Amino acid sequence: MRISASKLKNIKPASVTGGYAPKVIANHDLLAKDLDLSIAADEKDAALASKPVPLAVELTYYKPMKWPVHHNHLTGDITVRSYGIYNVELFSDFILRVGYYLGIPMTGPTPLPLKIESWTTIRGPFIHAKSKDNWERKTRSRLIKCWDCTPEVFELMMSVVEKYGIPNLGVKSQLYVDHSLESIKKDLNMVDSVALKTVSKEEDAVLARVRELLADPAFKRHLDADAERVKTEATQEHKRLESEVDAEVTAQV
Amino acid sequence: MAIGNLANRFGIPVLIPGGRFNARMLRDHFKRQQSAEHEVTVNALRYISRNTTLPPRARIEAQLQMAAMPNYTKIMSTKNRCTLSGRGRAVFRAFRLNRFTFRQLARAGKLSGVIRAMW
Repeated sequence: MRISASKLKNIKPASVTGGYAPKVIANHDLLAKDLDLSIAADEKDAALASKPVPLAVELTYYKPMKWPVHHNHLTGDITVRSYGIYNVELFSDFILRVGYYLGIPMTGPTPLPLKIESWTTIRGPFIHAKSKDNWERKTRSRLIKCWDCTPEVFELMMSVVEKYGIPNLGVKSQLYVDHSLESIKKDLNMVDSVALKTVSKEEDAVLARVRELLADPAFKRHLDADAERVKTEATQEHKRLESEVDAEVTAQV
Repeated sequence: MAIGNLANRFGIPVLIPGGRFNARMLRDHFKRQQSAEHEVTVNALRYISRNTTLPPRARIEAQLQMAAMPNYTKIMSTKNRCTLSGRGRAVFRAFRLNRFTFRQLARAGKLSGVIRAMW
């Protein structure tokens, strides 16, 4: 079964999107290229072809469709990673489809560098100790970028992605939000200047303990003695200077 | 040995680790709990002893107090041990497993993604 051109024209993204949503799919540049209609008949059996199939199901036989990027405004990105390539590809494909029906222009999936971790173990403790086993774990990952949509739509998409997550697969998303300079200034004013000085809660606890310790008699006597010493030295210095001045005055007279 | 006796083995109550454990694992567990409890005090004393603006006698007092604290209050006394066998040598950080335990599990296919390396 093939998709007729008139059917394709009627595909519209869901009205819940709020993001960028072109109305007529025929204007879509990527569509004609991505949707290779000739492969449809080969991949499916005849029984399926004779029954009516929902369009969304029909489209799973093709590459995921994408909306074109118009404004180059990066809203967020998603990284999918796992130890096997199959799940990574499958889930990237799923994310692209979810994004398409929410009207999000997406690019990817871009393969990220393969991460290989390796470990070596000995085969036995004694005579087989020179014979080794090498083990490795390869982490494959793909990057999908989402453009020109609002944070709400991005979060909506991520909630769907989270709901249908599969085991042994990691999905990491980043959302980029723009703030006006005014709002940042307002935030900075709200922050207490004292709070800015201390970096973390842990450090705060340590400083509180330091104050507590220094107030303890074991430390306080040293601090008091030191303060006393400083005071005495200052008095002595003052007296010495006074006597010097006196001597000068007497000499002049 | 009853659990009650184990909990008071070090003179200070200790939380018993879950699962199978041996004496060395329990000792390490105890050290981790105690060092976490005393972390703030140790850091505060270290801060005083290294602060050059404080009088030397106060700094030496801090050093003495630090030296007087039991060894189990120092995080440096803990050791990464195998979480299954309790062995303290050849522990892979990524799995917190000893080489032998790691090999057994890897051969059984129980470590996700770990395969025999081929190149």
